[in-house]
Amino acid sequence: MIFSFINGQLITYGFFLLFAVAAIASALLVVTVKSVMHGALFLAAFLLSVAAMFFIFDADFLGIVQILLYIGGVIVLILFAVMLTSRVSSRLIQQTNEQKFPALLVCSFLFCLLAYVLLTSGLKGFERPLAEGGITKDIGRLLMTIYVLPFEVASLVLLGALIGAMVLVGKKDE
Amino acid sequence: MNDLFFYTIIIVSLVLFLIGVYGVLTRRNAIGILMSIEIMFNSANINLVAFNKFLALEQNIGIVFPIFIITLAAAETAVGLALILSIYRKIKSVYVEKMDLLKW
Repeated sequence: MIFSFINGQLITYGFFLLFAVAAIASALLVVTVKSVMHGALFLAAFLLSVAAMFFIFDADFLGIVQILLYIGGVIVLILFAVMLTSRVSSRLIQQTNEQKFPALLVCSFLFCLLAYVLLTSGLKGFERPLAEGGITKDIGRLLMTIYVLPFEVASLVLLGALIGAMVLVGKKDE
Repeated sequence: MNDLFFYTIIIVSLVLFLIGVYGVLTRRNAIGILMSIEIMFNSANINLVAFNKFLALEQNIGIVFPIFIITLAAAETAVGLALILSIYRKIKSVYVEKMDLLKW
């Protein structure tokens, strides 16, 4: 067989590269495209490819949460905000400032620094076996035992964000 | 093979993070800055999930932490967009160089 040398992990790697290229391309479009509306739609594509990466790394629950919460919630919120402010963010107005070159400089410096740290870290990657019963079972157990305090605090934060957002945008009677 | 996979993931998430940094530094529109921040959050999540898969940890901690990050990112987006909308109501602009009410 001509494909006999292709094992499962090579196929996984190929799929990962595919979605990585999609994620990087759509992220680049998010930060460079002229209209913010299109940027928000490319952000949805980016989040979808990140969800696909989560599925590749066996984190299926996280991928579903990503799709539900990010694409279903955050993107809709951002689209609402873009549409509500569309009068001042038309295509004709410049959406980027004049700091392109310094920003590129900062990014390349950070890239060199972090890549140097990564390559000298000597991290060894090896695949750990999947937990029995899948990862989702493990997540539920961890959230209800060790991480129960952060879990409750997160719910309080969400409540605060809900009330805060309502207070901030709610119409005041004048 | 595992090493190559692991390092590729970290380099990809590094590139995504730097794209987010670039967006924060160059966007004028406050909503655009929020979208770049979402890119940075997601690159951190990719990194955590990759560490969970390729480094020996006791339990699936690398999956639990991104859940909190996603929750807080959603809360942050809701409050951030509410702030932007209320600023927009006040000064009729969403561009960050116009938001200079505290500058004297």
